[in-house]
Amino acid sequence: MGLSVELRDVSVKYGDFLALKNVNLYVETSEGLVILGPSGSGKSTLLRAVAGLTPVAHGRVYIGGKDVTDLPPDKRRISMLFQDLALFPHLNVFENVAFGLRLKRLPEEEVRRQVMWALELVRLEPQQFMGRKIYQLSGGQQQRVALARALVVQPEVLLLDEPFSHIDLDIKNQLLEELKILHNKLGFTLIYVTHDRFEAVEVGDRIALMRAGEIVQVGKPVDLYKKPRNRYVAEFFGEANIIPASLLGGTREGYAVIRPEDVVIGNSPTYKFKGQVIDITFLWHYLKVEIQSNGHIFKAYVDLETPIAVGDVVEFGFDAKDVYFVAE
Amino acid sequence: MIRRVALAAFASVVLLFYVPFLALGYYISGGGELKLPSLSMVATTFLLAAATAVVAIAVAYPAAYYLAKYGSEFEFALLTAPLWVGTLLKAYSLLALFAIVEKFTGIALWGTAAGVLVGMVYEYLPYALLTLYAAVEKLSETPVTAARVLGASRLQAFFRVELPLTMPGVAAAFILIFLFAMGEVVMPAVLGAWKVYTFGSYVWDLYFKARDFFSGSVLSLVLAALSLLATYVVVRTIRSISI
Repeated sequence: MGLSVELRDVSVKYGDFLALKNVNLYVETSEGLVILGPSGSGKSTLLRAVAGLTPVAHGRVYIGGKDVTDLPPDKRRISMLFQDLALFPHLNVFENVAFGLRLKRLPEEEVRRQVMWALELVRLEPQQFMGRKIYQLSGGQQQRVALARALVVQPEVLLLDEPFSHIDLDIKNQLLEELKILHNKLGFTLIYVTHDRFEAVEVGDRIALMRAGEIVQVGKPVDLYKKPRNRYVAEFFGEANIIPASLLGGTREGYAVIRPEDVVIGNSPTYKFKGQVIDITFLWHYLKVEIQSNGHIFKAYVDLETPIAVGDVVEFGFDAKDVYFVAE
Repeated sequence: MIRRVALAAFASVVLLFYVPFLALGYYISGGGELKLPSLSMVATTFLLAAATAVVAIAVAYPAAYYLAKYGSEFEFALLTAPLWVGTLLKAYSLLALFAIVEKFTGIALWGTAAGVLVGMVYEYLPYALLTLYAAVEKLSETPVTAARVLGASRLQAFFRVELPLTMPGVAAAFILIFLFAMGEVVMPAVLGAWKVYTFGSYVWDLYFKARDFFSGSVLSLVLAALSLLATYVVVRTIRSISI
């Protein structure tokens, strides 16, 4: 199961505003791709272009190698999960899930069988929940119903537009975990839009990072993290120390990116700095230390046991192999 | 302080509403012989009111949908402006129109139930329009989008999602128009030429022709009570079917 999704040179306009600028993207069959970016970067627009909910001004959209650019959403073999759930308030849980099946005019028995299957898939006890009204459910349960409704039509491609952004952290993590399991089990292609990099790494085999209607970098999470294309990627995808390359000596232009966990307090093999600790934050399994030096504030993640206090003047630095240079 | 003033204002408005009913009570206390309307008259009134509501809603719904989704302010004003025209004026302009229609087509509307229906739909259409506009305007785009993605065509999305979600608005429009139409006097009088005899006309005649203030008062109260009951039943029904 699952179909590939491809965007070739796709642009979307809202009036005069170019929301998507010549985007090219290939999502493989059964892959999990996350579209990450701040609000207004065009990530939802991209998803809507795949779904056929937004007309494409230029370029073509392919699903399973077939040009679907001119097909309406109901002909694209996709399903979608929305930020505000979009459950049907006039229907109960059973009828919400059955919605897509009823459109196919399946026999009642078959509808019932498949709704049960979908509810069990999202771990809602059918007998207990089937007859409930939507407003009688918690946020997490509602999202499970929405997921069941999207999966029951056995889509080849599942599109998710910030589906868990209004849900408590604990339940969100649980749902993300279950989504991953379902993705592996059912094999649909998954495209997941979020502004949250923690969610992104949770779901994505690959991540496409967007800015101002363009994809800035696509790749595995580790590539975006360790080899960011530019400062924007380095900053958006995890915490980073970004300093002018000239600060490290030599004639190199551009910027150096060093991740905080690569900053060592004490003796360092290659680049050495000295500065004053201005803040320390407890972050569960490490301390985040901020050090002022040379007009910059460096961030370092250090062991919880590190004997350090605000006001200390410390030596710190990092290894040459942990420095990544970007041009812009 | 504010609370007291507001309460006083509220109380005086309530009083204003119910003083006329007290006046009815005054007439009723005078006693007399109750002249009940015929069953067929009640049936005519009931059917005419229900038909008015149904037709007005059927005509107004697409227009309200258009206005709420795509309409401009000018178009909105254009369609609701007749609301500010007096009923009598509407009735007489329709009378002129009926004469023209009869001249060219031979179809006589004056003095028929159909003619009265046309008049009443014309009169109450803006109410349906406004109520339905509010209902459609409130609809969010996402349920339709969700339906589309789940495989519904645009038309299926309308019938399975948008229409059910606006049903409370439809019911509200129905109550509003039905209640108004139950007490309608002007249209049956002018367009029905007293041949289409309704409850409202009967009460009118009791007061102004027969001078039977007792029966007129009792029947007015009965009509008001029936209207209240109908409202209650419909509101309960909406509550049970809607979110």
